[in-house]
Amino acid sequence: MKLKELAKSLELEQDEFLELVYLFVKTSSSDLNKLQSAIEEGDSQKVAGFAHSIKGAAVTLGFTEIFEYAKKMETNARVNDLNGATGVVKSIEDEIGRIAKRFHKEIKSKN
Amino acid sequence: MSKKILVVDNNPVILKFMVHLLEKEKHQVVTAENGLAALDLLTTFTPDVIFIDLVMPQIGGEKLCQIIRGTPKLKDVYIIILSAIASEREIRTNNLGVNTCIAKGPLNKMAQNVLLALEKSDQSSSTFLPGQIIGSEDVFPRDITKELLYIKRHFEIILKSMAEGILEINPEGRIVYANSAAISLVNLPENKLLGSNFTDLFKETDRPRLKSFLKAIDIQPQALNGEVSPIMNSKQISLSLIPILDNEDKTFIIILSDVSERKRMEAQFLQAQKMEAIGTLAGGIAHDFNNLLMVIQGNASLMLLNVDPSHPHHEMLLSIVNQVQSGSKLTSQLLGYARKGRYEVRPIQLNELIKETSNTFGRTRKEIRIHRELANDLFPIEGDLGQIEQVLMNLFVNAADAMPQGGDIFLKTTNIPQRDILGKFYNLKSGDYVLLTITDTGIGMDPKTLERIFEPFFTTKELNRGTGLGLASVYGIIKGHGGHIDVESEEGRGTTFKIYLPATNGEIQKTIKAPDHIIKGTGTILLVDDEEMVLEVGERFLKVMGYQVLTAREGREAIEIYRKHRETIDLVLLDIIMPNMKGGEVFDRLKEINPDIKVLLSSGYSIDGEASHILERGCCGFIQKPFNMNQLSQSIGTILRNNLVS
Repeated sequence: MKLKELAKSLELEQDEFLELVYLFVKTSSSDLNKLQSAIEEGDSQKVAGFAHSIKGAAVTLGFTEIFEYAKKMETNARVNDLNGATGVVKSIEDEIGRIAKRFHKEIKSKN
Repeated sequence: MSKKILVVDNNPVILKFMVHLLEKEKHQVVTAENGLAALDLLTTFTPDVIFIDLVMPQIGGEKLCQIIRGTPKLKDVYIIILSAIASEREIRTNNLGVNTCIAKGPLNKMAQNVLLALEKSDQSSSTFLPGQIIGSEDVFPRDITKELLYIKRHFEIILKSMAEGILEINPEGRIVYANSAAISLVNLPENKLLGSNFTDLFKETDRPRLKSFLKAIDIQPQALNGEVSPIMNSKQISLSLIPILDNEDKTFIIILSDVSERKRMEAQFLQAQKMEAIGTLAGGIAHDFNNLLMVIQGNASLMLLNVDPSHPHHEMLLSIVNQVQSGSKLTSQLLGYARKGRYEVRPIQLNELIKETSNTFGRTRKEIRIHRELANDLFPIEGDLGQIEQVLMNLFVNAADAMPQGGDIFLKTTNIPQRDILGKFYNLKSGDYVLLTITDTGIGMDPKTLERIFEPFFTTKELNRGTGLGLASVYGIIKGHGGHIDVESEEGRGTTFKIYLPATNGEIQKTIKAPDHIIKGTGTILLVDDEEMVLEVGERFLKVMGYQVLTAREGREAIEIYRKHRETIDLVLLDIIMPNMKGGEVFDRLKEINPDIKVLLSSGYSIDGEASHILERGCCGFIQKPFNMNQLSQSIGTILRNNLVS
């Protein structure tokens, strides 16, 4: 879904929505880094915590793909299963990357 | 109507969204990214409504609600929980004092719910049912989170039931979590404790050390070392720090234990060890001195027998004898301290002794008023009358010296049943005790003096006024009696000595005073001593008393002589400490030759230890060096009743 449409579905002004998306990309990227370190340390509890945090942020802005990935990771981490976690991080990263791209495109078109 | 609103959430997206939404509605909005920051804001800002997220670092939402409701000026603030986990847990709205809960979800739905909740906040009573959560129908079910919350609650119970205090502090050193044990250790209400500075909980002099400890700690858990534990609320606290490198910040978990009791026992133990070591040394010195004094006093008193009182030397000799007596008092105090001076132990009534001694003392110090509060049914104690008298006199003199302008001495005795003494003191046997407290209204002592008063030769009195042995001997005598002595004092507020002595079931016996002159007798005495001079003096003493004397310089010689002259020897005067064969072994061998042998032991040490063991094996008596002719004649007299010249 395009960002414009997403903003509309959330009944937000576009500028306001873009500002929130910017914050989301920023905090989620930082959360992802911590998530990756937690996976490397094998700390399932931490992984579940960060996944939960990303999931929560995603649902408010309607980023359902990220929400689903993060939910899957949290579920697995809760039962100490970190197999494939790095792959999921990659998928979330890609999603955030796509959102960031769309965000820049919107900004450019505005200017 | 425009409202003052505080939004507390650690998610920047939510904060920004709320600011936009609420400012659009013309409200005044302030934000905080965690509970601690919110508390700081609330000291100067009183909002109408507060939105609070539940899961946040540095003081979570539930705790924040409790603190807000406990703060008088914030009690009417309308609290709205805004949380993703609101739908997964039954929020105890009543307990937390929360007005409304909103579940986080898609922003459009959330916006509606936030505005709806604000509208309701204007109405006098909430139209929401308690526990009802608005917006939860739009949130995806999250079983996982439920499980996480279950685990969280589980850990909360563990933390709550721990005996150690647990604190968490943020990188600035401010407290963001405290378990129940920590709250009771610090003795501050939780809402005051959270947010306060960790090092401020401690005594001012300990703070710099704690600050540098916090600064220096790396990533490994570490305990605060050092002989002295920091003081918090007059308690000695041991600290262990566990650094938590969560995000970019370093926070600490701190484990606190109250070690006051343990430290007190350790200090008692160390003090006891130190006193023991000094005691051994002092006892050795006293022993050697007693032998020297014995010779000086013996020779002087023998010379006195042959010098006419008109002769100028007579007075000088008397002076020597008197000085030796003073010297002997000193060594007896040293022996007292070394716990080597219990000569004659039997059941005594402490109250009687206190009455007699304090009366005698009171007559010499008219400016001191003595008050007695003595228990009627006081247990008897097992002790040496002379030594306990020495203890009382020393303490009275000290009390009086502390009150040069006059004052009061309060004497009190109480029975202490076994159950009240258990575990109270290091190394004290179980059983009933008698407690004597001696309180004066004098100048008192500073803590440094207090620490050292029982050490021998430590004195605060001017030169020639105190020997520094008075309290040392008090200490030794009490310990020698299996008791315990405590002292409390404050400068300008007087001093209290507390003496615990073990009670006994034995019956009190009246003492009979020995006659004060030489008792003459007949018969033969074998004198055994390794000190040539003591041997010489002893031989002369015995001859003056009317006895025939045989001498031996060591054990084997003594046994040989006894074997030869067994029929004629009436008594053996035997030194205990000798090279090669000790007195004890000599006694056993003599006893083998003649089971009915009469032996009087003598020593520069006291009856404790070696001598008492020999007495148990059937020896007739003991005499402490230095002894004079009277004492020796009396000791021999009680054993050889049939040989006395009447």
